[in-house]
Amino acid sequence: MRKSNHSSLYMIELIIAILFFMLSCAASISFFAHAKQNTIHSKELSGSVLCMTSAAETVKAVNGNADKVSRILLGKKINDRVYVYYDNDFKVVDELKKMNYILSIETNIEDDMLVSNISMTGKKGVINKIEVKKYLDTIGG
Amino acid sequence: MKRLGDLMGIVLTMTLVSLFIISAILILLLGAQIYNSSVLGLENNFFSITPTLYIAEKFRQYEAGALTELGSINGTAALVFHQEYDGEDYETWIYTLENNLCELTVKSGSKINARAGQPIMEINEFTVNRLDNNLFEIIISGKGGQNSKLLLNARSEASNA
Repeated sequence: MRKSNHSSLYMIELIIAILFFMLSCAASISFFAHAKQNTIHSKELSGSVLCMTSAAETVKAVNGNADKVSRILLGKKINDRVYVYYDNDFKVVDELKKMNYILSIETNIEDDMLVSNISMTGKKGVINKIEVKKYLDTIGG
Repeated sequence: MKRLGDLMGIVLTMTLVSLFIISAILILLLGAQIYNSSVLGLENNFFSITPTLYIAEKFRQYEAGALTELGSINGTAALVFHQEYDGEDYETWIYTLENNLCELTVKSGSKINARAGQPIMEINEFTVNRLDNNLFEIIISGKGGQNSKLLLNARSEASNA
């Protein structure tokens, strides 16, 4: 009888220990998943910043000419907007199938100011967006 | 019957302990894999993006009254920033030497000794092209093998050299 009680107590102790372990596992997995998401987001931000900087520099270099921007960035011009498609490693791709991110460039001229809205969109929404301005008076120095 | 009960107890206990150990190992492996991928990603970013941004900063530094052009040292591509300081013309060269991104500032017209340059960072490859009059394409392959590409607009007049 005493042996049976000891065995039951041991089992209960073990089950409680495993229960706590499982709870810790669940918490750990949630932290790991969060860390993974943060890593992906960080990679997306780094990649998008380089692509968007390149786009902004190009827009300024060619004074917003959509055809030139599209040609230099290897993008597509659709209704005065330029779209550049990128894969998971932020390399330019032609096929929509391989695309993971879209860089969108919309340029307008307001008075003497060139205003360009550049945004990078991923599968979960907008990752980053910037507004680039340039006084057209400064063309040619 | 009692023996069967004892045996069942032992089997159940062993199963629970095995489950415990297997779960612990899986969690450890999962954590190690996520940590490894995070560190690898950060290292790749650091080794490819840092030298690219360093060159971008050079463009910003030399944007007022300076002249930017393509050059060549020992048959490898180089970026050259010209600037006047205290009435004298100086050139700052950015180039690669033995898998290092190097920087060298000399008086214009001086003979360039690539070994005299200051190593900035270890890289695999440095490529620079001019896409438009003032637009330069910088491609750097970092130590980890990952490429990073950046287009930079030289605000100052770019030389057609």
